Amino acid sequence: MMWNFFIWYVLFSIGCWLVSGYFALYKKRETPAEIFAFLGLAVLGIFIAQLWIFLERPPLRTMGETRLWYAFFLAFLGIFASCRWKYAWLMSISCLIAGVFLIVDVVNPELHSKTLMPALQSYWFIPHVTVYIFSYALLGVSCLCSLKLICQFRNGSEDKELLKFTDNIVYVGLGFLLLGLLFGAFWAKEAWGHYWAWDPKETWAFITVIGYLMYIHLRLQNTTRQIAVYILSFAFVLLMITWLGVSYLPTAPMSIHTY
Amino acid sequence: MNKKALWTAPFGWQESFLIILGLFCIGTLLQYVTGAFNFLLLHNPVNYIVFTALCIVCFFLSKLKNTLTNWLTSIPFSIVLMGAMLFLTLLMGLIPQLETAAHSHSLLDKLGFSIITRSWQFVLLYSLLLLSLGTLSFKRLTVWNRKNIFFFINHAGLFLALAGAGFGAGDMQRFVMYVDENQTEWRVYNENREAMELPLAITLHDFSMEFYPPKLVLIDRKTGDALPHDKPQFFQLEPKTVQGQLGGYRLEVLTYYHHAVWAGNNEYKEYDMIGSSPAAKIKAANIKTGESKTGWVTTGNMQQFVSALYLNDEHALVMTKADPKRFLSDITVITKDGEKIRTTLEVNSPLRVGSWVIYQYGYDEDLGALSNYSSFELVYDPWIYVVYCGLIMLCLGSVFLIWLGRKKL
Repeated sequence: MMWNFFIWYVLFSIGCWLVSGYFALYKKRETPAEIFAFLGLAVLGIFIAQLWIFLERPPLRTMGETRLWYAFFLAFLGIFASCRWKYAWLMSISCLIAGVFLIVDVVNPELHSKTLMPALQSYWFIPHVTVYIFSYALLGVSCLCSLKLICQFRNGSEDKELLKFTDNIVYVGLGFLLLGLLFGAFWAKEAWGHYWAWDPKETWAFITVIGYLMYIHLRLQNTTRQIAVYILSFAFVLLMITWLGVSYLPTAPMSIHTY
Repeated sequence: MNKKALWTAPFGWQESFLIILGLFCIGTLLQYVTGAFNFLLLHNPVNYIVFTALCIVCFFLSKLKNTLTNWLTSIPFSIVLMGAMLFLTLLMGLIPQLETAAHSHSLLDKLGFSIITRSWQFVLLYSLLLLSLGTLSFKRLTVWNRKNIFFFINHAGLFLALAGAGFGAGDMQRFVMYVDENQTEWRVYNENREAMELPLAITLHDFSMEFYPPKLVLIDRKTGDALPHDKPQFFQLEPKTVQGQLGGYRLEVLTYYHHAVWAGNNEYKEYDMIGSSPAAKIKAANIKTGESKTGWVTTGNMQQFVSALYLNDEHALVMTKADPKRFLSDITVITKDGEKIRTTLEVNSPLRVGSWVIYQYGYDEDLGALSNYSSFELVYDPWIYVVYCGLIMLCLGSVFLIWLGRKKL
């Protein structure tokens, strides 16, 4: 079983990320920090590839598997933000959160079955889930930015560049979020006969989209930028409920999206 | 990005908030007094007339430069309306939604909070959203530059998708048809289990199923519960895996037949026929005591025995019911014109015949592969083209969002 070796991959990745964080935050040396972060990411990528081959299906079905991808994308985006925009702090926090998600997977192993029920056997499956998880990672990064901005507002300072960066990352993240939702709608039409059935997961996906749309529209006026940033943090709470929380809500028993 | 300031109308945040709150209160009152909104009112041709009227109103509004137009297309209005939609959908996400609340006496139901999508509040705010999106889209239709294309595709796409979904709700019909093997059927059942006849008939030639290899699980022989009680553990059978551990036992798969039949003399043999079921010969050794047992474990079905491997007085090793991998119906669809279409229907690959789409729906789950009927869902949704047009525009809009980000706009 691939999952029996998982802990060694995780320890190696987290080890790399810790070294990366040390270089980024204490030594202020970006290049070695990026190299070590990338090394951790590569090892995680190898694990996902091996798991895919072992399971003979894309590892995108269970919560544990989606957390794996989330950790991967989050670390990837952190490294990208550091290489492209020199936000080394963002890379360190992204890797830290990615590490937490990996530890959750180690501590909470689930039944990693090979079976894929007929409704999930569709060419929409991979794009629907990967695009969603990628957008979750992007919007996770935007949430970190919003928290930093809130701290800045409190201190009376304001990093205009960071606000611009946040805008961009929300636009890109929302783009992917919408694509995930639309792919889901096309798939649902093919599998269940209706593109939108107000299933609790769908309802919450809709709620999340409204949250991010509010941020984008609030940012169109400079006077509302502070409220916008608060809304951005709140939108991520909505996103987390959509992804992880729906199963625990009173509306959950009606969902076809519980796994 | 402050170009919007050019249009700033006298109506701002406060007016938007008050008007939308007022609309919500009117909706709640209507809901309390008259009950849920009846979407069947929007049946063809009413929905076409209302949709056309809405488009005309939006078009004329977009040409005007009065307070109403400016307000409907302003940022404060859009944000307050989004806030109201957020509130309604949050209610929907937190309160379990019911099929109907017609005879309920609870206040929550009477106010429409457990049937949000059919409540007057939702319908009124949805209409306001359509009015705003439509006006906005027409307003931007006349100015062509890169920024506007992006803006137009997103807002008009959302307008079409929401309009199509809302106005199409009255025309959408869903039926289920149950067909026995080698029979032809044209009767269907609606949501209220009433039989009706359709201009389509379906002949079922064959229903077949494929399964994944099943799993093994330890059970408590007294209660029959899977072990451990709090979180049962499973051992997945598969061609490659021959050894493993389950509970306190080391398992060795000596033989696995995906299609097995009883061969007498405590043996099974591989034979693919109707009524065969998976069987595995397992050697299970207790890790502590070293005591081992060998025997066949099978799932069983209507034609085969269930066999379990009894390990001791407390534990037995059993096979779970195999998960379905595919289920397929070999059918011929006959239309009223006499056209015949032969196809294999399965989940995720429906068949479109005119305005109807036919889906594989179900089978007799107790009998599994031995099921002698298959059921199909027939969906009639003429507004799907409007919705898809909107959804595809939104897809393009999303790609623009990703490609351009904010900075370049």
